[in-house]
Amino acid sequence: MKINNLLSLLEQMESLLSEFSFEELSSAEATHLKKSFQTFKSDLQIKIDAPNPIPEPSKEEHLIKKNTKKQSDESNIIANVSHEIRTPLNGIIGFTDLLKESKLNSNQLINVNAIQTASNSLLELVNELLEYSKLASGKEVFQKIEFNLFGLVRDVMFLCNTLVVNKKVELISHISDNVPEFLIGDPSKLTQVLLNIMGNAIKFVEKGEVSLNITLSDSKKEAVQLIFEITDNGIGISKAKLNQIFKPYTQADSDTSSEYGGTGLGLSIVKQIVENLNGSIHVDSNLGEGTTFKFIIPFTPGNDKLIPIQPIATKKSTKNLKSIVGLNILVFEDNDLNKRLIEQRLKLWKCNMHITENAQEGIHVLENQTIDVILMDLRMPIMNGFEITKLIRNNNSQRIRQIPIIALTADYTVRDQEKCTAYGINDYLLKPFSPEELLSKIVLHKNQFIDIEMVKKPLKKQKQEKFNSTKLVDLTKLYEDSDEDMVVLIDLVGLFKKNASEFILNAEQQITDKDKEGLSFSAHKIKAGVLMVKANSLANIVLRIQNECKNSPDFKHLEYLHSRFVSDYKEVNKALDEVISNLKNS
Amino acid sequence: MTNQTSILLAEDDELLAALLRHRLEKGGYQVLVSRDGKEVKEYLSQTIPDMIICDIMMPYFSGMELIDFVRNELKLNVPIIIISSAGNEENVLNAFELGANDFLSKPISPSELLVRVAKELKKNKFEA
Repeated sequence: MKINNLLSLLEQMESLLSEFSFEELSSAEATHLKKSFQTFKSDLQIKIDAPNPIPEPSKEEHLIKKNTKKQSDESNIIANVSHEIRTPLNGIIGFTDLLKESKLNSNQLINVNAIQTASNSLLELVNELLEYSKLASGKEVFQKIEFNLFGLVRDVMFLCNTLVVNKKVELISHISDNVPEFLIGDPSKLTQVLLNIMGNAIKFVEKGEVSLNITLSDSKKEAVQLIFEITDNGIGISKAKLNQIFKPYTQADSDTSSEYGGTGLGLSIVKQIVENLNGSIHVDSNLGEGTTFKFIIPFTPGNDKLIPIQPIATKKSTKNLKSIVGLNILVFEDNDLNKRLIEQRLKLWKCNMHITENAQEGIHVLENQTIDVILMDLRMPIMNGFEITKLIRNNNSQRIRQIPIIALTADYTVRDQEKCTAYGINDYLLKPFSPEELLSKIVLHKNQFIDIEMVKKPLKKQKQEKFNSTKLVDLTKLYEDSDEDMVVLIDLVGLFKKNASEFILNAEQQITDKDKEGLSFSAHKIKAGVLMVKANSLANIVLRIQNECKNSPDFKHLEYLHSRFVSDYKEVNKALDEVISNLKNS
Repeated sequence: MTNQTSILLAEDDELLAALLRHRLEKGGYQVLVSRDGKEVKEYLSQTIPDMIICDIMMPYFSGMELIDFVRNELKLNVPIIIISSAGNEENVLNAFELGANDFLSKPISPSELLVRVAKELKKNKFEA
């Protein structure tokens, strides 16, 4: 079944590739694309055609054993195949991206987009398969660390709220008084389970509420059983389909998957996780009335005194908030959930941000943008936070060397503390952190950093101030490039404004028409301009529009991005006028 | 027509094209900007500029095709400077193979472009 799914997607891609005309692209890209596709295909075939190594004993007593072995062999093969597929698949995706950057005619663009959509959904499928097989084979290692349950629920609710777009869905959470705040267990898996179930609930509710209730079922010295109940008043699931729901590839209705999307592995992954955490999960539902998911997981009670709680600047927060608007923040983080969490918060505070897990990309950002604060996850797969910090602290530019770095970490030991100081990390935040904690750390270090900058380079700062009266735009470089010719600068800024207005009009139409190729092209056309006037907030939006267009786009989200562009552009427009009039008067 | 050195600038980004045109004109060159490959072809079959600056990535008629057209169909040795996106070294190599003279990576420094234009023109004069 799973393999068949892979194969049919693969066939789709193959036929698209064979239709694709490479004649006009005699470049190496086409060859690369073809090559990675072939590698991918033959890898897959070798894995599937490999003879089954299990001997087949016919005796009945071996039957159960055989079945279990077969199952674990199957998941091993899937795990291996998935891993092997990902590498060439990433090649396909990467080179398709490159191919798209070259100027194609509209027919070619449609084909390349189709390849891209197909390979992205294939990647999603492969990732889910990998996780599923990891869980099934028991290879997944679960954490046992102390965490703050209340903070975790707060984060989950915050993220779920961002999923509610253009609907009247209310999210409610309630934690009983006797539920302990600190527990020992696997916070990231718990987050994953909650997000998955709640995310599903939100998907299926048009209007109404989704609630999360946490109660204590049983409390002993060594274990606390917590009951998590997620209730929605959405479309509900029929009794017949209910007992199928945790099986892989059985979304309640075959129509459901086309309407609501998803690969059909989500809930089976959830069930595996809950069971691997020694818990159990049930679902109860009435068609048309709603659904309740209920799961119980045992935790070890935590010792709250062990966690160094950081001072929370709750009262100051509104004052603090103003002082970080427009701040440029670079975030090194690899965990998708944490990425989204930080992104949402910083966006809420109107900060400009760049999130990456790649050291080179981060350094590139540091060299090309003025970054005020760096947030650094210490545990990352390829290069960890300490190594990246070392690169930053050894950078040629003094400006970059001095940017404050705040470490983000789930477990902070004395050794880490020594290491942080040794590597030049300025401060740390323990995960999960509250918005207030994050805010106060950023404010603290931003202020210290600016103090140093002001003392060291008062002159340069003043000169920059002339252009940079607001952080929305920066015309310093463009003015230099125009040979400090005001007439040219005004001309270019006028041109940029014209292009931006055109973009707003065209994009609006293209979103209404669901014309993603057109929208992608419009975004491409405005990109150079927003980069030239260094309107970072707009550049960020344009980039996100482009990324959204790469896959099967969510036009609701694009509508939102468009409205963000419109409102941010108003500010940028004002800021441009301001900078120009300042320049004229000086 | 004047005796000014003429440059054909094929760049589809309006803002970058405007910036480069301003700077080149200020540097004393006569500049024709085109954002459309067909237009470039038509122009080239009538007039031969002293220099061509072109973006590799252009809609309908890429910089690569332009170089090929100039070198292999029109058989001209007019100097060609290409503008490439960052991280596209392979394209640059291909462009050199096809007969480009020099290249600049985005983001473009107009001052650097002026220096390279002057250098290529000087070289071409000696060779001619």
